[in-house]
Amino acid sequence: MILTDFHVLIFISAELLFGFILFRAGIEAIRVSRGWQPGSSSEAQIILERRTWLVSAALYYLSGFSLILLVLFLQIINNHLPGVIQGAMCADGILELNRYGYPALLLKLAQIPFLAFFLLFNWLDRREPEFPLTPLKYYWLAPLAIFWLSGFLSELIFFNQIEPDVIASCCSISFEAARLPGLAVSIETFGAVYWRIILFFLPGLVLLLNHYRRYVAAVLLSLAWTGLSLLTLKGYFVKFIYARPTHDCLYDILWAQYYGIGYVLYGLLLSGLIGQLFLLLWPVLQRRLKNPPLHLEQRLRLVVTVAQFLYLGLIGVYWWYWIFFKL
Amino acid sequence: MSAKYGHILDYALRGLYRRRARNLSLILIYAAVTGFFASVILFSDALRREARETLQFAPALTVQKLAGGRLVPQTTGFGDSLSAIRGVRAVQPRIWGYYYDSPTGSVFTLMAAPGGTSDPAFHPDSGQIVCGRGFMESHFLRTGDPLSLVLPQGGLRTFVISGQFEPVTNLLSYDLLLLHPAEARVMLGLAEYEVTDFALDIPNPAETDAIGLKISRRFPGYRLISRDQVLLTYEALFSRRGGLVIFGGLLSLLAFIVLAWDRASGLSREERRELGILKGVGWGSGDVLLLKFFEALTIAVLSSLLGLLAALIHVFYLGGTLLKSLLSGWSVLYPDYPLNYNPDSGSLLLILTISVLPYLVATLIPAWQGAVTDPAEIMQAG
Repeated sequence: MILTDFHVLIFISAELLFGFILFRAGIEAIRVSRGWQPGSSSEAQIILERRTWLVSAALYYLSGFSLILLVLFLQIINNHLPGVIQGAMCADGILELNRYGYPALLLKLAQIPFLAFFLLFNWLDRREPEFPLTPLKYYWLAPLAIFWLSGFLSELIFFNQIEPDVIASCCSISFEAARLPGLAVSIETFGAVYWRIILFFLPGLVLLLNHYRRYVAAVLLSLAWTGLSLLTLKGYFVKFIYARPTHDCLYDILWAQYYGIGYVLYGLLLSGLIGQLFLLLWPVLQRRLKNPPLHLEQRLRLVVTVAQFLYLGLIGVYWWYWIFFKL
Repeated sequence: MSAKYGHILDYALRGLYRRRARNLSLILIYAAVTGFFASVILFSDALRREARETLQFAPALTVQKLAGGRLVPQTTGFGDSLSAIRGVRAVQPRIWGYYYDSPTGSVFTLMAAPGGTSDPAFHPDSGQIVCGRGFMESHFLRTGDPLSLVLPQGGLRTFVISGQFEPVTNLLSYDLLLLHPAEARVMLGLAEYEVTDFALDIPNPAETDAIGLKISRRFPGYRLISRDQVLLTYEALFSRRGGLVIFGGLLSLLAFIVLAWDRASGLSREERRELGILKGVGWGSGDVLLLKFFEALTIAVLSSLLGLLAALIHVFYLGGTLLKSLLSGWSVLYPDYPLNYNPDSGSLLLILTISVLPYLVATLIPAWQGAVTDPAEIMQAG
């Protein structure tokens, strides 16, 4: 039971604040959704329009808070708790302590795309006087609230069930058998031989598919590329960041001693994916807008391409540095 | 677009400066609340760091004999059995115990000078004693003074104080009395062949648990204490104590949120007029919300920085005077130990979370209420 630890206590208190704003914004969003009459200039409609400002402001706040809380959660499981739990050396050992650890992290990550979707919808909605995306944009709050509530409960149970005297397994045990699912070849071998072809080829293909507006195929390819990027990062590239051939940890790259490069790499993967998913929604949205922004589609494509190639460039720099200068 | 944000930020800062007398009291209260939480966080983390750094010199494994759940002396010959275990480089017999000092009502740690060190300060001869600063200061003693201690069987034994420990070792030596091994045995009532426990030197830390398991199987009835266990206990202890203090303090944070909410809701006549004019000249609800956000963020950041500065001074310059008894433990003697200034990014993020976020939440709804108010309504009321 580690809920009395002050790092955890502050995190849980901040999560409650997040929940309070989300709850308040949710109530206002339901009121607006139920009574919304586009084009009406009745007093009730004016009151509802005023309420939309509270929901928008609350969601802007929540977006900032969610990033702070995610970093705080990672800091607790990756830096703080490994000092309190015997045997754990990074977040992997801590998250494996009970079955609620990884769900808590994944549910936390899952909230970010919904917040991003709401912000983009809200921005498009506010550009036009008729608010064409109201109340459609508020539907994003439903999955957000579900993910937050289940994530918060997972976090509570996860921290509550941690016993400081139970020994955790080190991440080296979890990662040593990292293999590509279904293939009898280690990621290391796979990465060493094929990464240049596969990893660079796929973003090029995504770029091409986006150019021809084949967004469904591009989303599927981007998802596959993101998964492959994580697998090859774990099995091959991360060694060049640590400069240790036996170290496969995906969490240590978040530490200050590696300049927090993990935040940049994961941030690029996530923003590329969010951008790509938004491109998928764009044709539907475009039809609802009277005056859609001219360059939004091109900019979103640029975000996806830049995020994917910048990720490749960064891991490529580490690889290149060791292969050509050190080995 | 960014120029618009810049102008709104500029207007917000000017507005705060115009109402500086009103905002100053809020900033001071806010800084005090932040300072309290920041002190607990910085002090607890500094204690955990100190414990980690101090315990790196502790023995990898300590073997103690128990009878009826209490520590009992062991024979020196048992050390040979321990040194025969593969992976153990050296076995150090230790003679130590406690000495109750009735004039001060304190319990001091009495210890025999350890072997293996060439430092003469740690090798008092027979009839000599080396004292920690806590003992010296509480008895107004100086090096060279005679000191009489009460023997367990009654009567007094007088020693000459041959030295005292340096202040940098206060955390470990503040309550320590160091004697010649033969004198220590007499003071602790131990026979000539008896020791208190054994400290094991294990060069490979990965083998510590396996060696401990081997000893506990071969010699049941012995208690094994590993350095890692002690370290984790301290980590958990300081984190838990910090948590309890923070938990108590959350009520004050809640009170402050209510205060900030109430204050932000009660707009003065002048502020209402200002809002009316702004909306009258074309500011939208979004612009006013942004203005209020910038105002809240400025107050939050300024107060948090002030609180953080106060906490840094309190913890690292004044030694955490107000929190020491709550967080570091309870004892008649408090060692005066310096805490190294080394707050990490995690501690700063915690302070930011507990200080900035609640204020932004507290001012959100009042800001919205002000932003959506009809300008005509405000002007008519004003």
